[in-house]
Amino acid sequence: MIIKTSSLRKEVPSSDGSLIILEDINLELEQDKSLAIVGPSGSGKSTLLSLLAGIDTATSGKVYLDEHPLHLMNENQRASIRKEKVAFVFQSFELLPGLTALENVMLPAEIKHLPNATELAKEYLNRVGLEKRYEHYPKQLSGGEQQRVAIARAFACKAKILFVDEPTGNLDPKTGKKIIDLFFKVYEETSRSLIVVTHDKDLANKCNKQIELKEGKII
Amino acid sequence: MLFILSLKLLWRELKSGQLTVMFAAIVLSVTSVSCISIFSDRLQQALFLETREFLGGDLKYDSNEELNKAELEGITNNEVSSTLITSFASMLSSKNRMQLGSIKAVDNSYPLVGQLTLEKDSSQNNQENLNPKKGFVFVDKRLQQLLDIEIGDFVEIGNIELTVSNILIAEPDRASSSFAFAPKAIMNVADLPATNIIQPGSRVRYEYLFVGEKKQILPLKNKLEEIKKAGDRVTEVGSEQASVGNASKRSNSFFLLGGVLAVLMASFTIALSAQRFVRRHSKYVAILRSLGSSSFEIKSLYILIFSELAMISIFIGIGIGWFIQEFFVTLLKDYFPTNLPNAGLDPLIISALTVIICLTGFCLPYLVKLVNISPLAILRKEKSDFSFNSIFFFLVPLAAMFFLLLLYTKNLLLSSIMFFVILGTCLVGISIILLLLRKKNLIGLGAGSFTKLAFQELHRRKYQNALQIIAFTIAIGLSLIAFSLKTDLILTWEKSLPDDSPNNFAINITELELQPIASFLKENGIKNNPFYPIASARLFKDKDKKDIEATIVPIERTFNITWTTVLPKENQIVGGFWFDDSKVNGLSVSEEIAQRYSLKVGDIIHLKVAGKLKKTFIQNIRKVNWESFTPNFFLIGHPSLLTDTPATYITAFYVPKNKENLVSNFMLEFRTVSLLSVDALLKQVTDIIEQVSKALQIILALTVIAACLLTIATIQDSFKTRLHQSGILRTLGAETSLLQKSTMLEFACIGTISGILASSLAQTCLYFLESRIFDVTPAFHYSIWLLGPTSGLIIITLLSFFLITSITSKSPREILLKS
Repeated sequence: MIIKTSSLRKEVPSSDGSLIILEDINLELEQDKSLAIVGPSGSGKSTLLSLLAGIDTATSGKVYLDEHPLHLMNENQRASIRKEKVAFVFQSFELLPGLTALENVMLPAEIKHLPNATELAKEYLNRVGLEKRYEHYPKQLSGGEQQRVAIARAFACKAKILFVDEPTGNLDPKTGKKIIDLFFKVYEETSRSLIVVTHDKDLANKCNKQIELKEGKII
Repeated sequence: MLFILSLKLLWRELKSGQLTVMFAAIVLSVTSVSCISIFSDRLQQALFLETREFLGGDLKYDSNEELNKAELEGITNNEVSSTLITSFASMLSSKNRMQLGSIKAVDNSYPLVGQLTLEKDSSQNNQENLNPKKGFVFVDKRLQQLLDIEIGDFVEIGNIELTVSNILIAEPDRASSSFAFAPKAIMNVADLPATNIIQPGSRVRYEYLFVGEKKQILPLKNKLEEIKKAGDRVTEVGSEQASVGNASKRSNSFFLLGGVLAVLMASFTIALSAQRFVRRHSKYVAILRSLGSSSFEIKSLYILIFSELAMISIFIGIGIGWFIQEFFVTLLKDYFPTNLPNAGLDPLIISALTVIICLTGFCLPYLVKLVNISPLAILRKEKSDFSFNSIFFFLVPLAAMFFLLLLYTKNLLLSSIMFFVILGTCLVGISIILLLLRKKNLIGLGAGSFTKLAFQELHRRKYQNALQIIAFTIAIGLSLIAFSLKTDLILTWEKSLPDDSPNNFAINITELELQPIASFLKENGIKNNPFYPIASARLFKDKDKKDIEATIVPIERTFNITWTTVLPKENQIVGGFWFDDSKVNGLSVSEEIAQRYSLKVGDIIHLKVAGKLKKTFIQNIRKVNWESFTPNFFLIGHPSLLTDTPATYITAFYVPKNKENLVSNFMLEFRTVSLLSVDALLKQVTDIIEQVSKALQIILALTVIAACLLTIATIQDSFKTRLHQSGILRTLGAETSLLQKSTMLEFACIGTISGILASSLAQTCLYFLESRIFDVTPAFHYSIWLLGPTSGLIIITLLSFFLITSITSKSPREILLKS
């Protein structure tokens, strides 16, 4: 199993004491398979994605990522797992504004100390059709182009599992469709697992498995 | 409605802590300004009172000749009170002894200002406004001891006998009388004719003292200047100050400067905080405008918010400032002649003005930007529309900074020094930083190792880093100046008064007494200083070299001249060369005399000494340290010029506390020698230095707090932009230690560069302050060169550690949501 959770629960403090975001989440995903998490806004989809990727911690319950117990690890240990196994695509792209497209894609390779970071970054930028945009800064790129840079960065990680959070949420439907097609084209060329949070039924249907969240619970 | 909304917004900002740094900076600047200006105002008023008492009135006319009655009546009126003091030296004899003394004959209106301090048990009369009545005399303690007399004994002055009615402790007009050093007696002027002492050719000084409103005194002064003869002097209150006055005046400069440093740093903090405030509020404005609020309403809302902030800050700042200045007063109260008068309204106006200037100069440009911003651009997050790179954002704060300096110090020189040195250092600093951090051909963030990441970050953010370094440079540099004021300058001041500074001056020594006095001092283990001959001299300036007798013009006064081949210790040649025995030598004049009478090196001059006119030239001009407790002279001649001139001698020596009896023995053994003790004065000055040093600690603390606020504001601003990057890097798997180490290394470099620049800023400022303001020899301050880079490195690195730890302690998701 690449992902396994049991009785996962997430609470956050609020003015009324505490607010339950997720409750009793149990799920499993096999290696090289894909999973879509769907559900209405505020149902806890993005929070669940963060817990599975180890960028946030659960209040209780267990999370295993490629057999590693994230719930027992400290932040540095989780960072080490993320570096080795995880890649991310965010709804708001999350590119560093001071770096060029090429430099943004190079980042994961730099963190992993890969020797051919530049070549790797160029390869993936070429795959997403941005071969003429290496030296462009994020503000010089359109929304669709920025998301393509984010996708290139995610694939350049050579991660075992990709976490994708509403990849078309900030794009118009036409561009969104193009991005999804491109994403799955590159995804199919590489063998890895995928978990995607989306409202988009077409995107969800492209995945091997789907779960639906409502008020913090899997239905 | 707007008012309530503005109060709500201000309260929310203060409660959330978003305005804390700006609010603290404004309060701090008001505190610094109010505490120092209230204290300085009270000190100035006290100094004026002291100087007035020291002079004995508002105006003094000092002459060798008595004004005739008609002449005096012609220039005075009923609204001006006056008194005449006739001073001369004469022998006084008691039943068993004789002593040369200084006598003041006074009329019934004496003293015009203050009162005579008399020994408490010596009189049965009321002590207030007491002066000697006809037939009576007051003698000082020294004269009492030397004549061996008690109250009620007779003292013979000239042809009459007067009864000793009081023992004099002090008189108000201490600045008067050229015979002030000798043991003293005060008699009534009505007894003077009967003494038969004053004969044609007697050496007598007539001092006319006047008291009145300023509007009466000014025309009187002008009239006296018109009738003034050669050798006469007109002195207005404030034109002369005692050593204590100078010490207090210098302390005031220290305080003012300390205050300026705190205000400047607070202003920079306000500017940085205003930038953050505007960025934060851009969305509010965009929403308000898109909901239909007019530009006028938005302007009014923000003007109201800042006016309310200003009011609260002024109220709190003045309150704290008042308490601090009360503490200063408690520290220094023993050194003021009277209780300090209450401060006027000026300090409060200056404090309020400071806030208005700070907010106008350092906040207004950003607020103008805020209200004029396009709501669409903000809602679309078009950051390019939100830059602060217009010249407007530099010129307005610079103008405000200079205006603040000028308003606060009322000293164009001090303001210009501070302004241009800070500006110059900033420009040079920015150039050096940009040169050091110029773009290198590196690709990527360098996230593979902490050193690469740190140096890449330094290059990548070079403009932001340059501004950050400048802010740190100002914070550290101005703190270093305050530190140097507290330590080095105070030390230099103390050094100018070493522990063995002479505390006794012996004058009127005859040539025959030189050897016995030298032996007396040596036998008693007292260090012997040089004996300087003194004669009275007048100078004549050569107008036409062809006919000297017809064209020479007298310089207005008589000077004491000495002659020696050795340059006195506290003197420094600033023009020409000191005497050289192998050449023809002339005259050495002090800088003040050279300036006052337009004398230059090489000028031909005629010197009238002991009735003989001698032609000579100005050989050099000296800078004299008049505050040193050693004999100082306006004129020094080469001995070859003054051979055979009859003279008396002066010397100074230090008598330690355990040998105080020696002074009485000295006076008994050398009765015609006048001995002046300056112990009390010396103690007063050294005590003031000590207390000023304590008060400066508070100013230093205020400056350091201001520096901390500026540093925190700068670093907070920088970390805001790092928050997002940190979130992404950690999501991608960067370890906490990578971020911590690289951030600390980056800030260690920034801190060290800032520290080095700060040391240059402080050293340059101190050079000008020492040479132009405090009148001490500029020194190389080793301590600031060590302290600047070290404190920069440690403080900035530690602060960066705390801030990056506060970021890395949060989960990457939390950071991404926050940023």
